[in-house]
Amino acid sequence: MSTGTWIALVDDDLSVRRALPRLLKSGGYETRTFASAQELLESGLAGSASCFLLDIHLERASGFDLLERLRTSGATAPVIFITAFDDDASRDRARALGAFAFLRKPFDGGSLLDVVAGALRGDPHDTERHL
Amino acid sequence: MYAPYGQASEGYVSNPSRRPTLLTAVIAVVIAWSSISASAGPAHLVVILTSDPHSSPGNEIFEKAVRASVAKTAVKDVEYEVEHLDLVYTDSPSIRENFKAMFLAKYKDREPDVVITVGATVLKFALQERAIFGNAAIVFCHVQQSDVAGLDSQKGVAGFVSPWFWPEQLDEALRLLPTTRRAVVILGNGPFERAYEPQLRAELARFAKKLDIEWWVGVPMHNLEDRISNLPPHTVALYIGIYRDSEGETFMPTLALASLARRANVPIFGSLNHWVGEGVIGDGRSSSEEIGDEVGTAVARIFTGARPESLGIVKARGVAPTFDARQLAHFNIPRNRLPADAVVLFEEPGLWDTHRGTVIAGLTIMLLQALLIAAFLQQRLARRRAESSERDSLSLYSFVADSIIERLATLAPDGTIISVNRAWSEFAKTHERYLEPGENYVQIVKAAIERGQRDAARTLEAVEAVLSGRDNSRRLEYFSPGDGDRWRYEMHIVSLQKPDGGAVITVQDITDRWRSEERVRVAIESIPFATLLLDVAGRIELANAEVQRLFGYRQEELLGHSLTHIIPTFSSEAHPAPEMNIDLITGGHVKEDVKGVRRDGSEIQLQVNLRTISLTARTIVLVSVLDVSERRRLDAEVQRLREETAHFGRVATAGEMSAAIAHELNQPLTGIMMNCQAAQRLLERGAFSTEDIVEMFSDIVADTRRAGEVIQRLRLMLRKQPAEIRALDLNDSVKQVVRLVHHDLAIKGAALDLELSEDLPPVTGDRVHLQQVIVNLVLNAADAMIGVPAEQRRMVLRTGPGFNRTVELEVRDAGPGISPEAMRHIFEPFFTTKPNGMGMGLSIVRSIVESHSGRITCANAASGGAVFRVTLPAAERMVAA
Repeated sequence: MSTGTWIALVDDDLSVRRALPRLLKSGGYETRTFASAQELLESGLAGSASCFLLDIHLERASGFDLLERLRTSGATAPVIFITAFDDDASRDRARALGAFAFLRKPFDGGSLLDVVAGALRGDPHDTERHL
Repeated sequence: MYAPYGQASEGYVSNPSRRPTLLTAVIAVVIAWSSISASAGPAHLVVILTSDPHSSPGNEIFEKAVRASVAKTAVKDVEYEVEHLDLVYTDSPSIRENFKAMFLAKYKDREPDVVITVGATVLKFALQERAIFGNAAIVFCHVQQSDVAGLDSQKGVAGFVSPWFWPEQLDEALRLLPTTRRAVVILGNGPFERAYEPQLRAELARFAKKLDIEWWVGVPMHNLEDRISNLPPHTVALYIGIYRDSEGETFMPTLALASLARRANVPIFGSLNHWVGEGVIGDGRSSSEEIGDEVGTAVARIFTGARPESLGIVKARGVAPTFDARQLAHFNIPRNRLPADAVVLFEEPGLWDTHRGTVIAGLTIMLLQALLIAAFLQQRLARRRAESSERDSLSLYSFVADSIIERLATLAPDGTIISVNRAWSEFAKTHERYLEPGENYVQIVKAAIERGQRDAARTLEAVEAVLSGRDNSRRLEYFSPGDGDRWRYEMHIVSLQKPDGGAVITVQDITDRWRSEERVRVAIESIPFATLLLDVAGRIELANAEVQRLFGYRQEELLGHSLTHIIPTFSSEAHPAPEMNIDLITGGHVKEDVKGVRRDGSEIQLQVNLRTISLTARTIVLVSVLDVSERRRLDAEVQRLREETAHFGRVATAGEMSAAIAHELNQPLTGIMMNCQAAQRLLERGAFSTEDIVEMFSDIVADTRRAGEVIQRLRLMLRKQPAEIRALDLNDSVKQVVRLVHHDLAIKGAALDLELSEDLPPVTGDRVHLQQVIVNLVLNAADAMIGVPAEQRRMVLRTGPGFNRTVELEVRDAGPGISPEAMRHIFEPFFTTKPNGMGMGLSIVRSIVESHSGRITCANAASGGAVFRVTLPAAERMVAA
């Protein structure tokens, strides 16, 4: 792993914010967690993240809104959506916004690590499998 | 002649001073029934729909007046069906649906010509379900102007608006009692009373400067009785009516009034005319009879070709203020304060009416004195017989004894007839009976027993009881020997109270009185409901065929027994004997859920209606008994259906919330999955710290527990269980609901602000059901705001103490509000404005709220958006001030 690679996780659920970084750490990734879109944007770190793991249903602003804000602020790292809701409209929207992948909770830890690895490698959008 | 026959031959002469009693009413009803059952293909069918229960006095008056009014006209062959919807006690969509189904079946092939509706709720019902009654004209009455807005030009509809004259009652009270400083307004909290309460408050508002007005709304009857007997001076009561109190007990307003009036220490004013005599002092301007008469006239005009809408909506007139003379006297109100057109009823009766007992006693003493003199003269007569002239028989004895109508004879201790009066000997001659002096009366009666003469054995027993000194006096009634049942006599045998014994017998013809009672008996026998007659001591005098069928006894097994024989709790709990006698003077009772015992020991649930009737000679008690076992079973069935509906509603809600539920479950599942897989990977590699692993496992445990709680909440909500009624803090319910709907609101992007009152009395109800109400209202509010910009999607959930010991819960959204069209149907089943809605939510919500004795209203807020308000009675025993 190259130094400086880190993953930004935005999820309003505490147990997800506790558990997910452990799995990512077992795959060798460093994770920073944020409880809301605002927290990430105000941290000033968004620009340096290597990959975003965003929950869609956040309080106030949704994960989609957050993605648009990140892009306007110049953050270009790939975005993986994770959500407890699974509906076609959300998938379409994620695809349209150019997300790298769309994972439905609860997902398999191995799959997540694969998707993250693909995103960091700069693979083409993993649409076949996850979008 | 003065012999009994003179009277008896005019056996049906009635006492003109007698007030109309139940006798006439019963006969009228019997005649009405027979006319219904005997009819073959009548020309006209009139259906009277009333919200009152069967046997409500006002209804009876109204129905009779309608029939009488139609009968006066040339319209013939009118058949009436009276449908009691009982909506004054409970009103809900499911009840209405049941009535609708019943009427559809009943009137499918017999389309009515006219439907008369009594009261606003049934008018609304009839208009909504007009198709049931085909092309029938609707004639309504007993409604307020506000109930019939927009109806004046509707085809096939005519009717009468009758004001309640409530403010007029207080005006009258102030005129009669100018020092009045306070008024208590008494009403129940059934659907009927609640519907009129706002109007009543508005109409009485103008008295606020002059009077302290206390509102006693839905106060339980036992509290009312207490409080109305302890009111301070310069107070009057205004009685609006009680169908139901806050403890859910139901009443007939007239009977509730009677029981309040008995205890009241202040005058009670009331506007219904037939309440005068039941306990109000006045002024009874609203007359069911007069309205019935007007309605009948309108019905007749429709039958003779008038178009209903051409009759229009007419304001019913009301009658002259009417007062109870006894109440006026009791509260020292001078007659000159009464309005010029006042009618005063129940004037003090004459000497004979009031002091009948005293007069009879006086006459008896005179008679006994005469008898003593007679006995003395008799002895002297015996001594001087030989030398006496015929003039000796013109004694005082003869004069007195011969001038009375009753047959009279004196007997020696051995039963020998010593003397008889003229009436006696006339009777003996006419009937060729050997009852002359010198004969032995006891032997004569014994011979009659030998011949098998009816009632002779009872006569002998009574005569011997007095002659032997065992009893001082005896009384018995019997039929005339040999004449069949045509004449009825009453015999008194009184001991002469002399050392050497003897007795005097008087026999009175009571055929007239007996026949009038007999007519009551015949009428009662033919009533198709279980009905009994009791004497004032509660002994059964008559039990009709229905009673015999219901309880399994034969008539003779019941006669002479106390009513407790078949209704064990009745006298011991509800009417201890002495109190029962007091109640007899003033009116009636309805007692719900009384246990009856059949001959075979099985029990039945009864509604018992007790009513006293003053006949010419005495007071009797009419008891009608209704087997409500079936009704109770239906009540239970309705309750079960209601619970199923509620359950269905929860399932539907759960369906709508499934996305939120999935979210709530998926979060902890994600945590569990991530922790497990991370631990697995670390353990496989052998590169881990124990603390890390311990932390992961404790997080797994916490997430598992959390998932379990979600499922538990879901189960609680979906569980099908009977309502569990207890006192609850509505704020707690709100907070639990907020947890439940939190994610659903997040998905819909709606924010929820809570304004919970710190000072909230508890309510009584079922936790799950009330939560369901709140969930529905909150989710509806969120749905209503889908179309407004995200930042404006805010709803406010407010709780607070309401008016008059109630608790309010209000949900206000920022949506577009409710259209007037939707407002009308919003609580109806299957009404929805949502593309995917089933339209069950709000109808179930209303059904739940109403089953908690509450009400739900909706309105549009001035600031835009809809406001739903649920009002529930506070849990504490309410004693409003």
